[in-house]
Amino acid sequence: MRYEAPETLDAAVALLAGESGLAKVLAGGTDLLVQLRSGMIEPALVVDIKRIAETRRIQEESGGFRIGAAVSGAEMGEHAGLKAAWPGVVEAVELIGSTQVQGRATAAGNLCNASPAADSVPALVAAGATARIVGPGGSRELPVEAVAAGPGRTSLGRGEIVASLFLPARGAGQGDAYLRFIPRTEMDIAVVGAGVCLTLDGDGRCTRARVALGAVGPRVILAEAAAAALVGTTLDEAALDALAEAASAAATPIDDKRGTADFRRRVAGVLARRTAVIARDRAKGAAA
Amino acid sequence: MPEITLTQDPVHLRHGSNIGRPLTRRDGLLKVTGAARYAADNNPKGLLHAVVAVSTVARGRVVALDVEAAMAHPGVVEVMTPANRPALAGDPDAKPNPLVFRLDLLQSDRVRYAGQPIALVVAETLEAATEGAVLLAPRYESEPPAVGLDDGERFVPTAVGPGAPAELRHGDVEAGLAAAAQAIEATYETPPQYHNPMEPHAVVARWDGDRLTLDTPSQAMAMARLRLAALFGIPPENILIRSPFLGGGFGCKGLLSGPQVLGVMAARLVGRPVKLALTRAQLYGPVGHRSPTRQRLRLGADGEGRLTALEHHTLMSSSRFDEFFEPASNASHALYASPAIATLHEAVRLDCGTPMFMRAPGEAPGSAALESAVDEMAEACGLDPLEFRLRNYAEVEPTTGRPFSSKALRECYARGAERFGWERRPLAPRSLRDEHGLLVGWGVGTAIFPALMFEAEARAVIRRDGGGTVEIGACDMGQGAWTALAQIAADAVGLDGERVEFRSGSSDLPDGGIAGGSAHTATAGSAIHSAGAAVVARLAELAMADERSPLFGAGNAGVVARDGRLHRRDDESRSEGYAEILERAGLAEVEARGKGAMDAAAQQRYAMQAHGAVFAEVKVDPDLGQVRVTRLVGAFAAGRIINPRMVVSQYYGGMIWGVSFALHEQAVMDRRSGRPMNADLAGYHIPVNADLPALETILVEEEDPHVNALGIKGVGEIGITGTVGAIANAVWHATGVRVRQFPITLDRLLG
Amino acid sequence: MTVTVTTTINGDAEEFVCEADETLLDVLRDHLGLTGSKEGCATGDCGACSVMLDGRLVCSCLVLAAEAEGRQVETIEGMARGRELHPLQQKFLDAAALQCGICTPGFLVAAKALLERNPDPSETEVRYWLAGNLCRCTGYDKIVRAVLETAADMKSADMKSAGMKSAGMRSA
Repeated sequence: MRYEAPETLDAAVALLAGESGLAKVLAGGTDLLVQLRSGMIEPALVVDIKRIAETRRIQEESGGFRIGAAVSGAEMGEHAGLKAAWPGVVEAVELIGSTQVQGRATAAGNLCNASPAADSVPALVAAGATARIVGPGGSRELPVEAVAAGPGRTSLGRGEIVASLFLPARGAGQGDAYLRFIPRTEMDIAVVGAGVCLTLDGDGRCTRARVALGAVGPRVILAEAAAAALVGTTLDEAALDALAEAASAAATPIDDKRGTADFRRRVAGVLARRTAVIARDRAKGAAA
Repeated sequence: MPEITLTQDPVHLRHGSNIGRPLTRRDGLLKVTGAARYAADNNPKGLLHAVVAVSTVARGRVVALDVEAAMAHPGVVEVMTPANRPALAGDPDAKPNPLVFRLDLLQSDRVRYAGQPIALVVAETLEAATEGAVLLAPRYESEPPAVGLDDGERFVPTAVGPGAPAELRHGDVEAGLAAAAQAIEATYETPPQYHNPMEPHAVVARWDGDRLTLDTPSQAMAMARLRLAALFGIPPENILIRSPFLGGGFGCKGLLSGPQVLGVMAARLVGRPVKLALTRAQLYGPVGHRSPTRQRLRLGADGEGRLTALEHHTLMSSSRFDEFFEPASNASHALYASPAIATLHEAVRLDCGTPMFMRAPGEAPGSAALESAVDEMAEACGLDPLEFRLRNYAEVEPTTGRPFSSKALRECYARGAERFGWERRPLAPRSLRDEHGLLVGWGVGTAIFPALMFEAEARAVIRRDGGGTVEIGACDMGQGAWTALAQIAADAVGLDGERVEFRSGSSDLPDGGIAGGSAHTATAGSAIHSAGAAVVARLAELAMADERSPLFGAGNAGVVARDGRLHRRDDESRSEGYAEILERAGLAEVEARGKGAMDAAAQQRYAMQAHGAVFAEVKVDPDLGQVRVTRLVGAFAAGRIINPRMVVSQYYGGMIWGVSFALHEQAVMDRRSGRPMNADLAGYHIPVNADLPALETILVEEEDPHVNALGIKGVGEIGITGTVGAIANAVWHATGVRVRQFPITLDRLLG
Repeated sequence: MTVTVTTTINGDAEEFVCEADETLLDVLRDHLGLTGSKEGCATGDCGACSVMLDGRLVCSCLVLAAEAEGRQVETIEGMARGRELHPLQQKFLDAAALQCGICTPGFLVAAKALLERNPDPSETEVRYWLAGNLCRCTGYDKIVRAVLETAADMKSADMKSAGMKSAGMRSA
């Protein structure tokens, strides 16, 4: 195995594109190192992107935030502006693993690992985040929900890497939230995750909403019917019931050792409802 | 001897006795600085690293291993397979007694469980050995494995646990049930569990001709030495095992495991020191586990809520090739009074590694089921569960009529209930909510664990400089043996703790017995106590026979040893220091040995058990079924307490194991492959700090004149018992839903 | 591929050669003799290998040794100043907040990182911060209490020295 730590994105892309064997990007390494150690993968090349300046910073851009691919969860949590604008996203990222893992793990890595249960992804999808993909053919911006192609697979081409994530400007009356459900109190993989981002008008009526569900399908699900259940309402009980029902209906979970499919469908509804209430309260705070 | 200097107690309280003081740990300084050297921390010169390759199928044969590919990998020195492993003098499949377990030492190409070692790669670096092991790319001929309790043919084992009868019948259960005003039958299931000590098994082995030195964690060094001697055909004296620190054992380091022996074989094969450290995943197979159980309880009670019958039947499993049968039903032997008690066991054979003693073997799953069933019976009788337990309090051991050597359980109930506020508990379930709308429930469970003793030996020396040495090959696996035993040692030789050099942790010292069965302090402590008494007696003989001594002629009045002096028992003003006695006798030191073992006559006469009562509060999310333990109070009576600080840690530890058993722990088996699907700490859940509330324990005083000379019962395992039931019962009280499958998971709770 | 790495460990400049795929934990333990960091899982689930990397708490089993180039690494071996224990070490020792001891170095390194960020944590904050450090013995309660007591001790020591300074006295 070769280890390289280039200082520019171009150099990183060139290394990755030029490798004929398996090449992997090392950002936080909290998934990659586990796979390496267990013999699950044997890459010929590992490209550490943490020495590239633009992957290591959070920058304001067009009223939103561009988050470098090597920014750790802990660093996102320490960024007051980001936390104030996108509390749901930051809280979701902070749920990834332990304090130790937070010191390393990145939102971009969480996205590229393409686990259906990745905590940050439903929140990013709900927030309408995009990923900047850099590759031999240049750079493009992709909605985050288009990055994962299936469990453990991404839509990225050869030599392409996620250089950064972009969270748009937070609109007036907008609020986001993420909740996940795990049997343990900490240190666990989501049995169900729900991200909600919504906008309220001056009368408290929902004008826009995005609802995303994690761990209840092969990819994170953008639950459009669930979002539609909120739009035009003041998120009264009837709307929340409809949201919960639509979220349960959108979920396509499987039975596994962490819960039965029936149980997860039910939890998806309960969780979407609770998440929407938090997002609503945040939106009201934002509108005020 | 390992070169270990232990720190001494930094707090110099002097109240005469060393026993009973809450001294801090003697091994603490080494542990907080990272200087304590565990087996895998040893890197002798010339060391090679071994990595074990394990089977991914549960039943079949290894038909191909690409040894050439592994050997061709840079850094790989040797690949050990059934074809080239060193010859053994002893058969690893021999079973001379029930405490010798069959080991997988590459004796054939046969695979008998998933995770079984099938080859070993030895290399200059760990990375090279790991890569070499991958290159072996084994191929198998596999057969469908038997994985669950329904997959095998049931039989009644000849014995359960370490040699207990599989069936015991006292009175007429059917008659008791027929006469009962209330009768219940309930079946409970517990999953396979793995010990998962934080330190995976490791061995660093070195041969010098026919002499073997190894650093490896062991809960029983002398037994491990005998096993190695038999396997390799060398005298036990040629083997030195150093085990100063165990990174947790819980039973899986009690008897030498196969991989530890494989490390020794590899060192012999390559003629260099070899280190073999298992990975976390490799602990799921060759080092033991707790068998799953299915327990059916039938209880009858009369109109007053007094038991008329108690039947406890357990179905469990052993491996296809060896015998260990979890004695879960025996938890019902000594706890509740009933005119009819039957405890029964049946087993099936599965294609798994052999189950093994795991913290509170038998009692942990047995108590989980019994305490749940007793709660269900209390509910059927309309009684408060604590009141029901008091109505069925066993004044004598119910199955034998023997008196208890001591039993302060009533006081445990009373003090625990008072601290917990039990009297405010509403009888009906699902009637408490907190301010956030969470369901709240309170439950109680009784804790019980037998007061066992094994055998041990110790050596005590008193020197002319007024100091002493006590030696015993005891094992500190975290429980605090070295601290508590050193306290006993100081009292035994009548010296302040700082004047006694306490030496332990290697096999060239007198046999300290087994650190298991909650019996180590009692057994090793008794050995130290008698060695101390013997060496003091030698000293007394010298003094009493010497007319220049103030103790001359003390004769039958005798002497007592305290603070480095012997005092006449009938006139304490007449005394003489150890140094003067030895000086005058012209001796540099006196020494003596002593043994610790159970008093067979007392064991015949008395039932010996430690007891406790555990009270739990849980909160349950009514929509999601999420359970949190929010309060846990345990009151325990376990005879004499040598070091309250260590004992509280043991109780806390046991109670958290109880939380784990009730709500978290389980190996989920893949029925097709026979492999656990969660063989890592991400998937095999044990509680983390955030899962737990602050705990409370109450040490209930108990004097036991019969159990042993020191009055010690043992505390290492009892904390799990009672706790599992208390939590399960609290979950029922919160929700009105009785989950009879452990761990209690959310989907089971929501139905 | 071997990599030569120049780094700082516990304040001392260090240079080592390692394989590209070796972890920082393996290099600490096998090449540098710093065996206080333990391997409990190699998957970042147990925290026994916790170290500080450029001031961040990380699992050294999830860091490639090559990544340490030019960085600052702090391990349990650097926690005491000579013979003087860090207040957390002293408290763990005095309170017997440890049992088998395998998890202890990781807990101490993690607890030190917590108190440096948050000198006055609540019990809940301690329990969540330390949720990535597993103890099977299990001494969670005593560990949490020891961390809280250390925080209180350090705070009152700070207040005392601040009080003495404001009174125009020299602090010891």
